[in-house]
Amino acid sequence: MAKKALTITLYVSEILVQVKNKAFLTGRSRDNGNNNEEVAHMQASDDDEDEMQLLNSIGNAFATLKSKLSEFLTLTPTTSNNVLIDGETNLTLALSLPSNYNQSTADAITRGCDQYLVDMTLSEWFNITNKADADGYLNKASADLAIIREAAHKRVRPVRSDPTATSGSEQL
Amino acid sequence: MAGLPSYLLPRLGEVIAPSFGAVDPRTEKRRVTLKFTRTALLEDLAQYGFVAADVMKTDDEHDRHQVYDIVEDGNVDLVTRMLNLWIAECREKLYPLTNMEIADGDERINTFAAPEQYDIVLNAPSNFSATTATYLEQLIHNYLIAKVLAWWMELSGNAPAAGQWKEHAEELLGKIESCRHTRTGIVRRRMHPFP
Repeated sequence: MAKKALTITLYVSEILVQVKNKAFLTGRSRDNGNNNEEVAHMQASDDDEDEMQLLNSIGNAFATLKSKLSEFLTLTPTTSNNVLIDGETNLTLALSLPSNYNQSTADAITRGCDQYLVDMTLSEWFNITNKADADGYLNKASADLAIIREAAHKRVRPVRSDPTATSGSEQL
Repeated sequence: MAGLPSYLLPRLGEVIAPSFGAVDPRTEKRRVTLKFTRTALLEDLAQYGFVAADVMKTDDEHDRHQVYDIVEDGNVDLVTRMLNLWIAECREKLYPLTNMEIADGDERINTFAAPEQYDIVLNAPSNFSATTATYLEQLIHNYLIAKVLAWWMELSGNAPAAGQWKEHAEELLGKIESCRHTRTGIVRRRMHPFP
């Protein structure tokens, strides 16, 4: 049975924008007029120290995601390193899915992966800057994984490839 | 047979109105071949697997996909191994019809084989019925399906379904065995039961 290939490309720049935007909105909504400094800290900026932390978290989350999806990942190089990922790079997942995989869930897998990286990054970010919100994003990341898992396991009904491919008896 | 899809015609022609070969005058036997394409078996297994997985009482997609994927890469070789085994079992169960002499120096090897088609060749008595041949083919096909599903359900941790398929397989095997002695022809009763 031929496998179905699904390549997912995740733009790190896009993930960074989502993380920063959510951190900004969270900071704004937590502003009570007396916590300007805390609010400023939870709103991730483009400064090197902020971005370095975010990229580090994205790298960690992506590594975990690959582990979670290892059942479907095609073989990757046997060398690895812990170099900080680049904000301009793309993260790629080359999935090899069974021939009866239901391709209509490809978007669900892609969005799930994207959200998992965003939520895990925010969880780590808020673990440093705003502990009250950290667990919420961790739980959301777990829910994202469940969605990815469910989507990857959806199957289509099999169809007979050749209607004449039946058993039969013959007298010689 | 007008109105039937064209792909069914040769199959029905084969099974319902088989052309009888000449009876071997020495043995008074006819050769009947029951053919089972692996593709037909695998496709039926895929369809049964889909339905079984769809109705499984679980929320875990991982448990479910093992049943969906019964004939997918990584699983299909195991299934083929089992098909090979149970085809051999069927030949053995039909021993009076299938036995053949073993040649001197004959060998068997356990390397993996995935034949396109399995043949069960019967040396049937001249009065063996064509309907019995058809019945046997259907029974064996469904027996193979039931055996594989019983084994697969057990392997994938679905014990209740495994039990049901196992029971079904045993029922079919009983019917296969009963076909060994089915004959057609005139039943002659003696006028005097005691000589």
